[in-house]
Amino acid sequence: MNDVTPAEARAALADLDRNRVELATSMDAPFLRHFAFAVTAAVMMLSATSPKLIGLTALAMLGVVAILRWDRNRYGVFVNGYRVGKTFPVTIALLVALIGSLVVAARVREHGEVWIGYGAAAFAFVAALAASYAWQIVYKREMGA
Amino acid sequence: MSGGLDPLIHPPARLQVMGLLAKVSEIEFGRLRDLVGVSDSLLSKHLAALGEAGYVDLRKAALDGRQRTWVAATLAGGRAFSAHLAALQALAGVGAG
Repeated sequence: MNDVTPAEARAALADLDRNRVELATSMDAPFLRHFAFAVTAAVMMLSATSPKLIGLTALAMLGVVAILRWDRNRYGVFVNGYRVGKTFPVTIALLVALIGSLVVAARVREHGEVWIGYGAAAFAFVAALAASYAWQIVYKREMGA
Repeated sequence: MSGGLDPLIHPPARLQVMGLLAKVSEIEFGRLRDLVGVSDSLLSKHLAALGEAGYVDLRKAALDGRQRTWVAATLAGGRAFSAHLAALQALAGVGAG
């Protein structure tokens, strides 16, 4: 194979960047997508902090499946939220926030404060909504968009 | 091929394919075709070559009543692309990105 010149290498890299930007800009999720993710996180948290609502876990799982199907159908792409890349810290931050909330909720409920499940769910909603938007911003930046 | 470049990945369409796969978990065949800007048959040939080398995996799954093909890079493919990209960047005189 002929040697590649620096100009050819730069052209190849420029094409790569263009394609990635095109992909990233086409994947702007509407508000409803972020909202659905946040609702799923809230439902999951509610089911985890209130023993009587444990059945909501199945609803949350269905929500996750529905969101993934929607993503694949709309974008023709699936990007794993746990992917290694610049988005990983966002995912970890959300996990830490949710697990922390779960631990605090468990401690508070030991003292008979049954409302805590709803408070934790509200926190999970806000944290997941913020993380969903942040993840998208960081991913697009990583792709050069 | 010179300087660590992978001759299997270097053809422009294959480079674009691997470059996109490096940033997603998997992508639908039609979406990939549109982004790379080649025909169905040409993309199939490229994917066959990359698949034979163990760089990509293809799977078929139904979505909304239609059978679709999903493409993902393998671990080996990801590594090969990273090495090729680094070699390209070194040749172009740009930093890693």
